[in-house]
Amino acid sequence: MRTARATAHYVLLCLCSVVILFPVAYALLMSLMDGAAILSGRLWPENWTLVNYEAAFQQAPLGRYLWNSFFVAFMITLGRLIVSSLAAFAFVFLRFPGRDRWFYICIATMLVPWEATVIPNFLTIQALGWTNRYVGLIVPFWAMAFGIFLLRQQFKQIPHELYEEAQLSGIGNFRFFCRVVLPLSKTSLVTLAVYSFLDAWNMYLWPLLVTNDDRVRTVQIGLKQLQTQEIASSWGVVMAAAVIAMLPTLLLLFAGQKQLRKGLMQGAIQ
Amino acid sequence: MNERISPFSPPTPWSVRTKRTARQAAMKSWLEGMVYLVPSLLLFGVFLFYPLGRTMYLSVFHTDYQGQPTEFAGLAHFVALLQDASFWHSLKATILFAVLTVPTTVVISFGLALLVHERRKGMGIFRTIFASTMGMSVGVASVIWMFMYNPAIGIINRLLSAIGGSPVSWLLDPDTALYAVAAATIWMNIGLTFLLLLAGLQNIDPSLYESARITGMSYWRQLWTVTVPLLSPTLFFVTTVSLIQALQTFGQIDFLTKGGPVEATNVFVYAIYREAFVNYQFGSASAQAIVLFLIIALVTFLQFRFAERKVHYQ
Amino acid sequence: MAFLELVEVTKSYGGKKSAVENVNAAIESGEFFVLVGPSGCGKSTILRLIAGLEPLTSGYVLIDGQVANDWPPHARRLSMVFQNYALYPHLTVEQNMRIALQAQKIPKEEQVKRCMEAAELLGLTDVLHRKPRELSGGQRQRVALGRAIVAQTPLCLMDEPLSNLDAKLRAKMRSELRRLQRQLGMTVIYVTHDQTEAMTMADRMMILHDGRPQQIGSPLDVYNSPDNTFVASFIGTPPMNLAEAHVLDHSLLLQNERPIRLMRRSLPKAERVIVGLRPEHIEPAELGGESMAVKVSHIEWLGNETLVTFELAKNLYWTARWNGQWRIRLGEVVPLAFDEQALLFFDERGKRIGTPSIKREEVRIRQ
Repeated sequence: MRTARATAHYVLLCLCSVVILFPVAYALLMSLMDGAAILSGRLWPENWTLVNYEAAFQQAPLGRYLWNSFFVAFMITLGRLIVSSLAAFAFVFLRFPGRDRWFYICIATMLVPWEATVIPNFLTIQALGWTNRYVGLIVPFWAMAFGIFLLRQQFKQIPHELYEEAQLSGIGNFRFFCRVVLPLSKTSLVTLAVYSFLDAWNMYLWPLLVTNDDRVRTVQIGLKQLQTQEIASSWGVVMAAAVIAMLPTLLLLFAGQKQLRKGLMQGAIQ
Repeated sequence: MNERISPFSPPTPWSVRTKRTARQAAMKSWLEGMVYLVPSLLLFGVFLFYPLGRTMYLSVFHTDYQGQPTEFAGLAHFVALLQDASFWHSLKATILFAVLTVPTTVVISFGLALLVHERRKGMGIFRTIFASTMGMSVGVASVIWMFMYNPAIGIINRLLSAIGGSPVSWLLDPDTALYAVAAATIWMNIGLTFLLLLAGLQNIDPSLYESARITGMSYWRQLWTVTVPLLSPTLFFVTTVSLIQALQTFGQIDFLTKGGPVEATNVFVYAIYREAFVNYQFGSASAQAIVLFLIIALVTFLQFRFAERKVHYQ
Repeated sequence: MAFLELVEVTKSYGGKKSAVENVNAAIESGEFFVLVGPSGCGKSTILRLIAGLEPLTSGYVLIDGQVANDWPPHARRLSMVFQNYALYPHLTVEQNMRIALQAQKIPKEEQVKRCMEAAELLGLTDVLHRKPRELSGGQRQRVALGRAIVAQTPLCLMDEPLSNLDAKLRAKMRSELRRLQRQLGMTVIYVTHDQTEAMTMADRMMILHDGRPQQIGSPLDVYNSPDNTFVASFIGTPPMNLAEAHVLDHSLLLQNERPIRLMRRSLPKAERVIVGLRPEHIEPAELGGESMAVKVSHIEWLGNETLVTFELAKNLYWTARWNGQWRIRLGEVVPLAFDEQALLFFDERGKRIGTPSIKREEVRIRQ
């Protein structure tokens, strides 16, 4: 009875895994076949080949796209961590007039979908001359209500006595922030970092609007280019590019999955 | 009973001192607080509140190709929208898309979360597999599914013909396009939803299950009497997050169908994008953006209210 | 001039009643001053007001004779030991002790020197590189103390520093803390809800109730000569026996029921009073004579002494403390005698009437 249940459980788990993994496996297999094999509709490659990967890097500046995506996602993540943690620190530890009002204003931004502001933002970036520049892809995403909220939840867990002790012994607010609050909030910071990085890597509409130059284009837009150019002729190249583009985020997800699970819940449900 | 203290004379009357020093102290603390808040507030101001106001402003103006307001339009854009069949069509497509994706994503993810939330060997591997689609960016997911949907060589039609069906042009047929995009979206979104629900499950006090087992409850009964009620705040949160996400869908559409065929997949954000950046009708696009804002603000607001009540209830 | 003075210190949080009202005290350099009272009496608030963690509503805090009301916490040159120790969990013992010194830009050699000395003093030398979670409760407590020591501030505030320790360790730490304080010449203001702690540690103590100071004095003064019924019942275990009484000629009528004849004691002039008597002043007696027969309702044998509770009048239970082990059965009727000289009288509102009944000399002899 017991083993029967366990077996059924594992069978179910494996079935689900196959379904979930299928598109990825499919893309990987296709990327390792030559064009003729793909067109013949095979599922398993007869001759394993890396020509598609070579082609992907030759036909499009895929390396450049990857670097751009990486740089943009990294800078967005870093900026978000700094901006959000500073604000969260003020909301938790500092006492000043109007603090709660500002907090509600920050939280209210969660009500506004980014898409509702995209038109004037595009015009702003144009006016600033930030189109086709990293700065235009990065800076607008630094402030993030969810980040502030998540870190505020975390900072509230730090015993207030630590702050009082710091005040008594003359440890200034900024020193306390750097030497105590940040090190004690590693889990939440990592969560926010992983989430932000995935989010930024995934960004599509905004880079589509503000870049039209290969030098700053991200890999998402690169895929789009490749797909439009290569349609029907060499799917293998597109799949190879997709496999390469998914690698960084997949690796990050594997590494940060546990932190993400723990940390997201903290911010989501009080 | 108090102690006698040594006589002393305070330098200035206390009330005067307190008022002045209190004001100084308040000013100082305000300045310090603002130093920490300024980055956030400035960015929110420039990239969120200003553009939101600007969107509202543009929505009542006619605009030129640069997006500069030319002539006051009043509510003309909104009136035109309400009379525009394609607006209603896009609203309908968006709602249908949300109905197709949200419940399915949540139910599948919940099932997966329940499957791995057992104390057995190897759960870590399955957890990683099920969460993996979160690492799929919209571009990657879209090109893979596009290929799978390919009428001639895609795996789906291959399988279909293998069991004797006739090939379907999934993304080119107005009857199937939205469903096809929805399926790809569900796959993409399972990762995050699964991860959140799993975290919710792990937050439930295990002693509740122990006590349920002692009273001899079956697995399904435990699910309904312990898991679902205790997970309901998470379920609700996940549902609203998915809903908001569905209402903002853009990337998949741009990759897979470009809003077609015959506007079958012209969901809200895609319609705004086209109106603004293809047709350069910034005023009218802004009016649509305002409608989107109102819908999403309402959904988010309801989520907050509900969550608040839940917290008190616990 | 006293080292620290509190003048009419009042704190209210906007509610009807203030959390602390009109506290006056002068604390001398090198003194071990205890604030004691039940939870919620405002003792921790006073500490936080002294530390500058919260602003006063009115009154003055004077440090070295200067009004310190507006001084930020760190300018007051004091250290604080918190109930939960407030150790930085991610720093080692040494880093915990040095972080404040670093902030004050004290030279590194000096930091290390002070840290080593404190560790030596507290027996923490072996655990300097451990983190707080790897330490026992007692060690954590010592690290918190060490942090106060390395700061070398003249004043140290302690907020229930021993209450997270188990009973045995707590008793040990009491004397250790006092020894250290004397050795280093620190001035300590110590908050506790535990009257035993206050009695055993204090040079002087202030008893607080509902944010209002009740009495200030040395432990024995307070014990022997409580100013009101609150202090009388709060200090001492078991607490002082109290009863309402009518004053008659040469006798008291407790709760309209139990008369007590007083031979050698003049009575207050009031008509109704509250009488108080410490358990050790109720003695076993021979039957007959001046003794009084009561029925035993509860007995506790503590080994070296016996606590006998008896019903003096309806629902009026008093306890006597007798040396040695007394074989008494429940319900047994035993003869007792009260030490008349030790009787204390309070008015109906609980305030003490008359002068202390036990003279100082007598106390010394008993010691």
